[in-house]
Amino acid sequence: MNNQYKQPFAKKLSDDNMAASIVVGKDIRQSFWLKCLMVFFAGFMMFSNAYAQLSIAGKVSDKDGAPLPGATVRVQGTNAGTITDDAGAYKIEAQQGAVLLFEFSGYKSSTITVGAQTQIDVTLEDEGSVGEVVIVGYGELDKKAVTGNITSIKGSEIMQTTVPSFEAALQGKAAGVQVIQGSGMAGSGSVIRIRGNASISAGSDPLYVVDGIPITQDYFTNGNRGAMNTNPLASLNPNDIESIDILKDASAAAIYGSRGANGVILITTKRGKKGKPVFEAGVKVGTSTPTQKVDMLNSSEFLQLFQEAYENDGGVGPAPLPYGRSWADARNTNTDWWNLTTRAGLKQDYNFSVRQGGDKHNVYAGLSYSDNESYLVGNTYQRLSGRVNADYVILGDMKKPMLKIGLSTSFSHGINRQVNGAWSGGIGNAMSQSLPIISPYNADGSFNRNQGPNPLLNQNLFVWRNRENRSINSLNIDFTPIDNLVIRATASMDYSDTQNDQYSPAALQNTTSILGTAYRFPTWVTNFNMNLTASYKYALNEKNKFDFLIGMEYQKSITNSYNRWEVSDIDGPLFKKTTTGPNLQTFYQANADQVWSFMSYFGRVNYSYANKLFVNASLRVDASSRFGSNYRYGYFPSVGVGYLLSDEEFMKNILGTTVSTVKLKMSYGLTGNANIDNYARFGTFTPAGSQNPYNGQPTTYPIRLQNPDLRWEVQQTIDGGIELGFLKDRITAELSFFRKTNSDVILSRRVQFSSGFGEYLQNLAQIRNQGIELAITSRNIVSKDNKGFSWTTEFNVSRFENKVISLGPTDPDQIQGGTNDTRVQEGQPVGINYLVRFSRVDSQTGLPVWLDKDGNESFNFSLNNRVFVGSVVPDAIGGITNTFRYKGFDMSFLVAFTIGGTIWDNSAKRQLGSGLMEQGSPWNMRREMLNRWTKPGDNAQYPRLTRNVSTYPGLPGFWDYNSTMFLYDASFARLRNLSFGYTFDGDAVKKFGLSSMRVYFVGTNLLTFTRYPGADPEITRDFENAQDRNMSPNVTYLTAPPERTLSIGVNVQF
Amino acid sequence: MKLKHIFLAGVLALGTTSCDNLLEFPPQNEVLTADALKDPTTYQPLLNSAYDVLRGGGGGFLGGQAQTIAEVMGDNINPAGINTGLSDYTQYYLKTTSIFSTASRTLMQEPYIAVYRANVLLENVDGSTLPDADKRRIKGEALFLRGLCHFELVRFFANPYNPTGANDQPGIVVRLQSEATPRGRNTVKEVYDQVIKDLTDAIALLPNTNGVYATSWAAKAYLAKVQFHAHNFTQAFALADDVIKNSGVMFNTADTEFDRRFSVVGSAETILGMRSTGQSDNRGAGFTTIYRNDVTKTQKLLISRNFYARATANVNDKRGVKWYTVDAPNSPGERIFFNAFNNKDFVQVPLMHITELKFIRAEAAAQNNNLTQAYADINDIKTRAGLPSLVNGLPKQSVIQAIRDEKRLELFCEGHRFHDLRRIGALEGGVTINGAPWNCNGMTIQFPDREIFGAGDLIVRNLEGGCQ
Repeated sequence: MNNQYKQPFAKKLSDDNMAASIVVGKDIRQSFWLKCLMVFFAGFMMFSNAYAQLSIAGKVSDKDGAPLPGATVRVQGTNAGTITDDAGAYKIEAQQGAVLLFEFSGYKSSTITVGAQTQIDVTLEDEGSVGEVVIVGYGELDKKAVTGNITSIKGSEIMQTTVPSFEAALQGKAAGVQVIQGSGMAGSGSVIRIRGNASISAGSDPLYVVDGIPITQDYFTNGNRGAMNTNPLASLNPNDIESIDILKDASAAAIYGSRGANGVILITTKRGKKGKPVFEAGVKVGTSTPTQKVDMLNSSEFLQLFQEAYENDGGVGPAPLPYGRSWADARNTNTDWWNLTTRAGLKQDYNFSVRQGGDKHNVYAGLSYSDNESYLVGNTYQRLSGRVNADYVILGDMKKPMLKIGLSTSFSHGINRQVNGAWSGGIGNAMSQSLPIISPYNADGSFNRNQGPNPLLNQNLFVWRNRENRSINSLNIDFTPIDNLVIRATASMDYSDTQNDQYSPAALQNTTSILGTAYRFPTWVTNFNMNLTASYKYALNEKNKFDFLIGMEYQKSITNSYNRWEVSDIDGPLFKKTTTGPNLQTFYQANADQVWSFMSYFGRVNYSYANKLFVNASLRVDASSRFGSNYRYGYFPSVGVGYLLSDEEFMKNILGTTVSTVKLKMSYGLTGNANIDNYARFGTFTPAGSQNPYNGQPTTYPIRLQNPDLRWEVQQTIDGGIELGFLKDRITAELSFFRKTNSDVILSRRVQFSSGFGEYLQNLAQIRNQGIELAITSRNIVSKDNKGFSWTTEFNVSRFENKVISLGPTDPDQIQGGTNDTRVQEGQPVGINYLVRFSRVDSQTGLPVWLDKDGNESFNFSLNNRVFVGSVVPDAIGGITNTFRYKGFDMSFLVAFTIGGTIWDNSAKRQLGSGLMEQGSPWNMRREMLNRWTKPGDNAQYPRLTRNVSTYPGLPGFWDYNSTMFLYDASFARLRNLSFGYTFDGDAVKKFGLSSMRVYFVGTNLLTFTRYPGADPEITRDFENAQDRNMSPNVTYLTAPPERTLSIGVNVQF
Repeated sequence: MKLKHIFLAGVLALGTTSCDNLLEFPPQNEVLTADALKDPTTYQPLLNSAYDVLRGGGGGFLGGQAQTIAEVMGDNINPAGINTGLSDYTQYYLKTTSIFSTASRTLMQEPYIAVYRANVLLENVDGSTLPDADKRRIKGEALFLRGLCHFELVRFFANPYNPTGANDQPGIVVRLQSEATPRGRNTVKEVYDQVIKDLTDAIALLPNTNGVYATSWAAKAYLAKVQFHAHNFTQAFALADDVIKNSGVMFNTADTEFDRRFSVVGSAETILGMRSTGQSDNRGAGFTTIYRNDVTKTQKLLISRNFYARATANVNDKRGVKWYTVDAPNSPGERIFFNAFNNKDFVQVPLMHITELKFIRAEAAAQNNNLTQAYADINDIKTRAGLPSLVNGLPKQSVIQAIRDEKRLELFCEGHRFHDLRRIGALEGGVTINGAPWNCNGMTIQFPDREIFGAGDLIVRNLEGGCQ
């Protein structure tokens, strides 16, 4: 938003805190224009000397007292102005009652009303400190006036971390925001939950809004192919991000109505700044390795344990080995499949940008290329992206535009060379069915195809490429017909074109009858948004001020896709020039389009009293194509109050000099979650003839029941908080509590088989999330002149309670996450482990001893003895960042931590036991299995080895070995990020034509402290749907661990 | 303030645009239910889809899996030959099914989908503009399918029908309406009563000829089978006798029957079958997936030595010669294959044929002391197989035993043996299946998870274990 919103207030204020957010020229000191300006001002001043005016002198400095040379000082409403000299000093003529405006790039501008004084010294605060502006929905707000809970993160902080996708860099940075890193696959997405998960079947991801546009953010456009969900955020270039503002409570998010309940992540991209062009360029190069290698048995260990299982089961003599492998061959082979499927990946990132601006325009242009190899052989994500953001004032100028046009446009071209993982192969095979006694190659050097899964086959022969072209564009027109009224019309389009290509050559299919088979899974998403807002500032008098906003918005998204294209007898993937053979066959199967829309009306009033009491009230009305006919409109009101207690005269004495700021906040409101199936409300039939015929005759059948009552989930949020500042705000703290109660929570009710149809969405459940958040920023050591030693600590911690209040009558198995992994139950968090309790290994027999429902030990395994034993929801999360600076050096490290919660290792049940029970294709085991029972008297961690399911009484099948034997504490702390840098400026780089240069090292995920013995305590597995994504983080099934990266880089500015 | 007016006008203009255009996006390639039911041409395709689902996905119901599970649970299969990809099948063999047994889900879900579609037809077809004859036929077919499906379900998921007693043991959920309402299990008696009622009503409504679809004869034949399993031998005999004598479908006296019962052409004995029209429309996918053993497929189940010995006890038994081969005989690695599906890309699937009805008539007749008819039927079958006739003058129980033994050999793979063993156990007691008593808990397949938890606490689970 623009400065003109606040200027009228500023005119009447002498409080420098209520500063306008004018962006002024950068490095104007060295500008040619400076000289012109001075000549101009000199002339003007001679002219205006005819009036008897006060001659005012003073000094402009920063909050640490350092002078600010080159700051502009102007008399508002006139053309009079000057520039401070090297000592920050200025002289200017002005009439009594005139308002002086002080501006300096990178600092908040300030205004002072001229009284009788002739000496006016001004302290400008930098943009990063108290008094900063935060982005809110459809506008921006002084941080001081915020009544809701918003965390702002600068783009530069995001850039300090090497991550597969920008959202992972939010980890540990914001109180109440849980970020579970994605897997090690290139471009993988994280799971982000703001203040806890409040939905079950409906998506719980926050709403992502880029420059005011809710973008396309569906993780399931391509389903779960090869154990990977497409990450819609990977195409966003982190270099373009100016800031990220996370709206957490209703007061902040209710303006997004039925889509605000999961919180809103507002991404603001960079725009031009006034002044001569500033160029920035950066190069970063690094490596990727897994955070942890999963330690599988080697050949001799495997043979030993395999033989032991055989003998335990009564076998005599050497056990027949899998795939008819001879003992001699097996002994001579020791294949480390992990090493064959992983590598040290190379990461490269290049970016270049320019920012520039004048009186009538500003422009930012950025271009980036990154090539992110993961540690998985063959897996890499390359992204070429460009952005141009420009504003042009048609009538008026930047300071006071009447008609302004703004353009934000970005393009990205992403190529993800995908590989199979987890259950689909690759590193998943290396951790399971690929045995160390099997060689990947035959004696003649050809690939071994007959002795279990050989990941090298796909690795070498299978071609898999996901290509996404995406462009996010918006155009807005701001019209200011009268003072304080701004009408803004915005039209935007987020378009993506994704082609997922696969090619399976003849060699992979082991055939000669065709050249190979190519597949393509194309998806196109077009997401339009149009909105119209009007904002008006109104000051009733000195103390009572209002800021009104009304608006309407329409958004529509259309997804076109094909189930698949299939072309057989072709010699390459479809993205290459190919030739086809004589047996060419093609097959195209289109999916039905997916269309959804929202029509919304909204309004907001911000009221402030004496700049210390703030009230914010908003209302949004949403209608959506997804809502049932009985519920067309949802109403989402909110109200928030903020009280800057420390600005009250009577408090100043009480607080003394130690406590500098006390602000109380309280808010209440309703938001919604509308992440539901686009068509679940319609009762429909298949068109006759579209499905399988019977006896050659057409068929039709009902698809689902009509659901006129289907609607958004409602979230009622109460949020309270206190902001404190100590020692002139050197230490700031924000303590918040929240309680959000979701009702009408949508359940995908899996109705009885006997009803004859599958699932039915119903607004049934109630979920409550409550918690406390604490965020502290402490400038422990400050340096007067920014050259000495400084140390800043930022700390945040959040404590959660997540609870399903009511669910309706349901069995624990009714609602399941993913492949039967997690459950939901009244009184428990969303996503609980429901398992048979393992007690111990009987030292005499070596059999596992279980606990029945009442806690009595029993040798008999029964799924009826499953109980609630853990939850994927942590008790607390947080992070601590320490930043040190000395002269040009900087160093910073972030430790992120999670306390509580459990990990269900669904692959361990087979890696540590039941995998051997798969007769034809047994699994390899993790080395922990060496600690198993071997003879009477052993006190072992794991029971006697066996290849028979029936050895463990009552076990129905190897899939059912679901017990707490494989449930682990999910607590961890990790050195998430460590960076060292040195910045050269001044003469050192001037001779190279640079204004500054920073060289740095950054490492991510360098150290992890955890009790989980598996791959990594942070698990974002591949998910089947939104419900799975809600319920099954912290559940692994051969999931590749996140990557550890080491990078070095250099950034220059000129 | 002129601008304000323009702005307000703009807001009004947008605000009054019909929201329906902006918010109504019905799904593409789907027909709204109300529109579909209004259209008289919906009903026949809807009925077709109810027939279609009898196969089940991949043959998951009567397309082979229901029959195969019944074979695995019976005494004809070699447990060591169960392919590792079929972990559930080991559970069926061991009688250790749990609520998570995957194949049980399909086995329960698919017939209920047919029931649901039948109910939609029954609820709406009277309101359509179809001619009365079509309405009667469609209702008859819907009732027939509903009865058939409930019957197949109750045989797997409930304890068998007792010849005496109240039969108030839990059966399955009977669905007579299209609804999402959770329901508990009806008793076995209630299920049988409803099945008998549906089939009886169907007999009255169905025509005598109806192409490949259900006729009144098909309904009578199924009713005969249901009555047979309810130990009501008088009814079973009368119905089977009526169909054999009057339906016009003839017993095939030639041994071509052994090739034709599951074949591309299909058997002329078929009273009701599922029609396959080509390789991509293989109604017997569940059979060919499991049994086919040739260059393209490997058989996933092997025959037990005991059963093989019986099937080939008489070297002249044409079925033994045609159907079985042995690899590495009498060695630890012995594999006995069933060859009826080799080299068949698709097959016609008979659900009811004259041979089965002759077995029903034969035993029902014998149970009713009509040994003459019993001899006549069993000898027709033995003669066709190249076997000598049954020795004359045997006592009733021996005749019955001979009929049952012959049925086991003649109808292998068609899923009769397990249900017959349980029927006989209920009738006479003393039956064991692979060493386990016929009425041990695990003998009844556990309800799959969703049928249980979809109903809150309404569903009583089957008891588990006790069969090992």
